[in-house]
Amino acid sequence: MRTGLILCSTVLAGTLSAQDVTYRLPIREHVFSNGLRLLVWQRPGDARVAAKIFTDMGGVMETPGYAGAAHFLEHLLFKGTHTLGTTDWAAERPIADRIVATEAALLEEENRARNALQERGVFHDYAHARTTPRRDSLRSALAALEREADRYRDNGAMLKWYQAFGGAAITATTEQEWMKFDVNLPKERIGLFLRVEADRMQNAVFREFDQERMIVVEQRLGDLNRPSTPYYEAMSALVGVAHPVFWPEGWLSDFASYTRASQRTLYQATFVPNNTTIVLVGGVSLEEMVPQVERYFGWMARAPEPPRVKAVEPQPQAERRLTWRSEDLEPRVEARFLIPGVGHPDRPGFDVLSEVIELELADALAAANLSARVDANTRVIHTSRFGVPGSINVEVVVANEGQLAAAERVLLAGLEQIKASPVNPARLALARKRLRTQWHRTVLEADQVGFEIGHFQVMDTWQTLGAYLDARERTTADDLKRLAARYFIDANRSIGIVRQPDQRRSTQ
Amino acid sequence: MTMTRRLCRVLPLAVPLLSSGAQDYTHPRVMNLPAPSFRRPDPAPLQGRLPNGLVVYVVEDRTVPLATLSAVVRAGSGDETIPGQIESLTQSLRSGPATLSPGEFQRALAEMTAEFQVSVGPDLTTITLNVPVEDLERALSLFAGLLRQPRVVAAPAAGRASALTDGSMPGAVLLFEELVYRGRPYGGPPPSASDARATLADVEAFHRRYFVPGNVVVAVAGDVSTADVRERLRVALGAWRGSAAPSRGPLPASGIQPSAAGRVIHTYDVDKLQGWLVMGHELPVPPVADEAPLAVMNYIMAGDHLGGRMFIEARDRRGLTNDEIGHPEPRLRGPGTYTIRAAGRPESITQLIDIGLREAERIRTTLVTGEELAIAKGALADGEFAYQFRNGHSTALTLAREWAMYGDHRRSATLPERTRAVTAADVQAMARKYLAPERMHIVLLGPIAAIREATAKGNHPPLEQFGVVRSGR
Repeated sequence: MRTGLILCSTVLAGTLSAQDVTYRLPIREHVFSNGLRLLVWQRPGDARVAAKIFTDMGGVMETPGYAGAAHFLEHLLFKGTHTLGTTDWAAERPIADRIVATEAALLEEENRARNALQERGVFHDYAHARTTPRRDSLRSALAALEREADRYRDNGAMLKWYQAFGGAAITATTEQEWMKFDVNLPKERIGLFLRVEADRMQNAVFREFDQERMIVVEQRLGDLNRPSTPYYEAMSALVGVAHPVFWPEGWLSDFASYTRASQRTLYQATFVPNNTTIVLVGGVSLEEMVPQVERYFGWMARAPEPPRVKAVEPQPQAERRLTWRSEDLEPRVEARFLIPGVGHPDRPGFDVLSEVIELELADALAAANLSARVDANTRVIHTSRFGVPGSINVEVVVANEGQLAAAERVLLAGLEQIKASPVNPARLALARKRLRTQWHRTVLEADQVGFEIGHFQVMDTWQTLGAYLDARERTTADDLKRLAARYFIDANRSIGIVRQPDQRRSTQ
Repeated sequence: MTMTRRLCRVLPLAVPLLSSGAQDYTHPRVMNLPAPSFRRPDPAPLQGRLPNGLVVYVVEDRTVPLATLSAVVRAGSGDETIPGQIESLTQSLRSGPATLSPGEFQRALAEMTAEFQVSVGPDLTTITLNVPVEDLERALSLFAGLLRQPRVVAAPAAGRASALTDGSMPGAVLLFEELVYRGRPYGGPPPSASDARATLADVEAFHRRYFVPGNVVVAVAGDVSTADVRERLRVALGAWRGSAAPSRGPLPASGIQPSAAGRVIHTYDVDKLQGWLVMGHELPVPPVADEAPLAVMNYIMAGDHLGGRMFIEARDRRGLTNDEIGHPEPRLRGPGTYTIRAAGRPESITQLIDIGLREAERIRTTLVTGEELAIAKGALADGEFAYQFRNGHSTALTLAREWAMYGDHRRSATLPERTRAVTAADVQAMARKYLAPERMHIVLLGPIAAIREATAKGNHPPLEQFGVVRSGR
């Protein structure tokens, strides 16, 4: 058992804003004997608690052909447990067992017929066979068993009790490195969160499997309706070649691959107390919460440490370029560079650098008489920070294709300029102020700051958060020069160009 | 046998507190969770009034060194008399005060690292400016300038074309509102370039009429002291003068009429992977007595994205859509809209229409269960209502909006109690009063040919089974 408290504060004398900057992070920690971590930020006077449970797993644990499986697991974990979501577990259980056995037979048949079923076409247009008679028969049997089990469904059980007892902001999210479930509850009812989440962590039953499979398909179709999605995913694939952090949330061909067995393997390996962090922000104290958490989670045994992805992104060796043709996207040019992950001392500076680049490039583009929008960010798929290398992305959207070449020149010259001479002190101060203000807006909302605490814990440790904020405040113009010189090199550069298809090109 | 009875028979009863050697399976129903201690903050000490009639709320919240300035103006799209006034007013407010060029205003916002938003709804216009507290004085000066004399500019008309090319739920909603309001107050999409007739003088006249102290409510929240802020507001806005607050009478009923043939499906073709559905009709202005039971009814039928009957049927049980939700959107002075919305792949579309209509009919014809009622009431009274007051910034804006809409706080004082008093019979009465599935207009925005093809291939009911199909083009 371990308890701790960090009050992180930095006092910067003589900053350009002429004020002392202090980040107070009154986060207190208790680590239970089974490895479960509890982090509490007490806010006296709050009538509610933002409650989150983070599991240290996500898209990076997926394997080829199963991309999106972690997100799908999150969906399945809303389908209930032995005690929630069923009207009669004793009657449902034998059916659930038969479903598992039938699916195992189906997988066996698919593996046996693998050469017949193998997709062989570039355009997904050829396999020796699309199915086999036994496969069809087993699929029908599975569907029949699911219909039989339907009689015992109590839908919405992982949500409705939260709702009934005043839960708000009920969400769940899965990204590359984490999965979280969250609810904002009246502080008197925090025990409900602990009871439900302990059950979800140990006793999930994967009901309505194929229906839920189609829901993640629906969500994917929603993503793909945006013309920018496939382009950005292609850029991610250009930048990252080895690490699954650069994979999207499933290709459409992957969604059919998920099985109850593969999802169960992922669940059992990762939903263990020593891979879990509970974050509470609001009107509760650590002292109040330790016995309550002990009551609901203390019985769980420490499990083997979940396996971690071993992939390491190779060191950059060559510039890469992508030309993407789209009728629906505005023309643009983008430069991406690999950057280190959270926990690396260089990483906080890139937040400052992003802000500075946006400000500098906007001026440079205007000076070049280019009508353009600039966006500098560190997003990979949906997330902006990782414990492994990600990328910094600088995108310039122009009014017409005729400006693309000039925009690329201005973009690359702007990045070179940062290497060559220190940025304007006022601009640096403004960048830091923007980041500081963003952080304060985060802290204002208990739900948001709770997320940041948990996010840093899964990326590195929660203590890194305070150091990270401090490091951003301490970033100097020389630091930015150094980062640009080290990372903005040709061998680490990926360029993306978006233009119209050939027959639609315009150079007006 | 009702679901509730069956559940009571088979679910485990409360178990004694277990040692840490085993899991505690006590069902939430019998956890004996305490009542929440939350009480809505008393608005009286937070409210002040300047001699010119401007109502102000100040809420101290020392969590972070930020301040939020908000203004809620009793004016919105329902008050437009000349097409294009509202679009240009919105653009004007976003351009800053007349004393600065738009570029200078944007630079000032950037230097303060401000978050600035202008949103114009059917009845209210809301301006919010969030800044570091060190910039409060500068922000207040800009804020006062915006209210008193914005830089009036013409807006480029957007309109219908983008809704059709984008393909999205907001696009489908705009198309539905265009049908419902047909050029009347509260109208749907902004006017096209050819329809917008408002001149700069028309926009100035609109601003002069509605942006007067007696028609605006200001809220300030954050790392501030009440006395200090009240004094700053007196200096910044105390000399503001204007005519009396305009009286705003009821607006005419919407233009939509049920066709002789009953339901109508309006199709709009876009080349996308999914289709978007908006099904509904007008919603009369509900009296106060209906506010809570209407919310409870909608929550049970199709509320909150996560637990409504439609969500469970369409998503959980059938895997057709990410969501199917009901949106009652009452307005203050005339009919609003009550819509059911969903999006899905082509083969889902007619099944989603079917589920929406069936669930609307079911809640009209059968009583909801005790469990459904308890869940909805807890969610609305202890969850949604209380969450609006989660910090000082949200509290200030919530109170300001209520005062702007009703001129008192009687609704928020009693809403939790009124919600808890709703019965199953009340829910059914609301459904019968406000839902009319037989005369819904249905907007379908999506790949129409693919929807028809997938519907036929899957042996699902065709569009024509649900109403007369008309091309919206």
